[in-house]
Amino acid sequence: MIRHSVREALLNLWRNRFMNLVASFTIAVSLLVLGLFLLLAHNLGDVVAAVGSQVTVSVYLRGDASEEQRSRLMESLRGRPEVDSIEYFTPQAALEKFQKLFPNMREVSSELEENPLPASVEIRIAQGHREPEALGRFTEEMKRLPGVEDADFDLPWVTRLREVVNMTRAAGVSLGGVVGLAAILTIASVVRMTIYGRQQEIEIMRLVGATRTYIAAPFLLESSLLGILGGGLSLGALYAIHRHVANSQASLVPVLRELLTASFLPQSTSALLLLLGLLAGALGGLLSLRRISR
Amino acid sequence: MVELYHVNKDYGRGHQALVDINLAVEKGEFVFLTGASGAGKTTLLRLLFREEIATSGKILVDGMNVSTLSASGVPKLRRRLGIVFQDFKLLARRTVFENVAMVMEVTGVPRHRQRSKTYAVLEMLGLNHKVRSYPLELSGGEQQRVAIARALVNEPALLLADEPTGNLDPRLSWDIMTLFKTINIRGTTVLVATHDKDLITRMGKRVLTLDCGRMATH
Repeated sequence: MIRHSVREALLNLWRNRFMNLVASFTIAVSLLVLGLFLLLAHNLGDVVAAVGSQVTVSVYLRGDASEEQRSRLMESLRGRPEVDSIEYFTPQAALEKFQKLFPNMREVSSELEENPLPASVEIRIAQGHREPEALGRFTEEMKRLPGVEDADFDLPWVTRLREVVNMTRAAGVSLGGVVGLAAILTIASVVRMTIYGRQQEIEIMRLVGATRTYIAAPFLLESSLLGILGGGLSLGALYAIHRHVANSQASLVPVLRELLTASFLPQSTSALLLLLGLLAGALGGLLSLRRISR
Repeated sequence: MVELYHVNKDYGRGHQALVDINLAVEKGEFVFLTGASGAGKTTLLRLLFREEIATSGKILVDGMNVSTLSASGVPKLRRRLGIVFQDFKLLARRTVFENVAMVMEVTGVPRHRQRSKTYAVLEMLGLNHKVRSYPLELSGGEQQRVAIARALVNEPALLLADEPTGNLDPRLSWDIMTLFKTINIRGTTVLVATHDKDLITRMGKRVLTLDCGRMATH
């Protein structure tokens, strides 16, 4: 029976190929929407993970801080339990870092006669000392040290970033869900049309004693294959976008560009998209079959 | 083989297709079901293979209680029967071979057996030269014979035929009846609905008559 179902399904997919392509495209679009958001969230998540593992306190030195003050500061920091590692940035290094983060501002910053950025010490905070209050106290202490202009920590930024990631994912899922529903309904109507077209055949099969399973299996298989095809199309399109943005000099907001190109979806997520396509197809098939079977 | 006890079929709004039908057909019998158009012949046949459900009464076919059959039991019933429809009900997009073999495909008969049985029954009906033709390429008589071949290929216990010669000329009609007689001799119970009086007279078999939904007594 399996061979029969597969053969029937493939034959009929080919016979109605235009209609089926449309249905696949519909699923592909919804999965593409979902996939885009997942890609953004994935890369964003990587950033957050990288950054989140670094809780840093930035200590900005005064312009007139002496070399001695600086080295004494660094020495005293090295011994402390809160400190995981420290990195010193000269004003020049700070400027370069700034320009790398915000390439659009490169021209503006290079036109300045004086480098406005101070020298700074980036302190990576060790595990166990990352509670907001502890960080606050530590930072206050840094501010009072000789040679220090200011100090701050960026925890709120990381938290907010995590929220953004979650929101992105949620937006993607809900948007994908809504479009996905449309896709399921589209496939359902495609399958229903197919069934109507084969009404006579189905009736005769019933009259000679075919079970409902025997009759339904090819349709279900057909709609599932349509779904997988849609999933595959969406992955292909997503990858094409990914590579296109990476290769072209498209004037996208750098952040968005980075989020689209840093890396592609992990294999598990890609497989998930295919699976969702399959499910959408199968659901669509089931939906229309329910209305037909008496 | 077929037993009906106080069977009624009511379509509502005063349209009673069958009223208090009682009849029995023994295994191996050859029975004609006759009556004017609209008398209820087709309805009665449809009750036997559960295309319709009786409003009341009991129906037994080959030992199965048709009235209480579940949805999953219906295919099992139909596989024991061979049904010839008045409008043939052939699949236009399949060849003659495929139309006949389909019945066995559906019941999971292995491929090689399908081939041999299909060829055998098509030969018996004089259709072996049309094996690869499509129904629309055949004459009415040939199409009817394909439909009969399909009904017979699974060697059913009971053959139900609804006006099987309605579209055929007298000579062909007689050929078909002779064929039915042969099948009947081989053991298949045959129930034929028809209003061809000449045929009935010539065949000399038992006759059940329906008159406005009721069984007429002879």
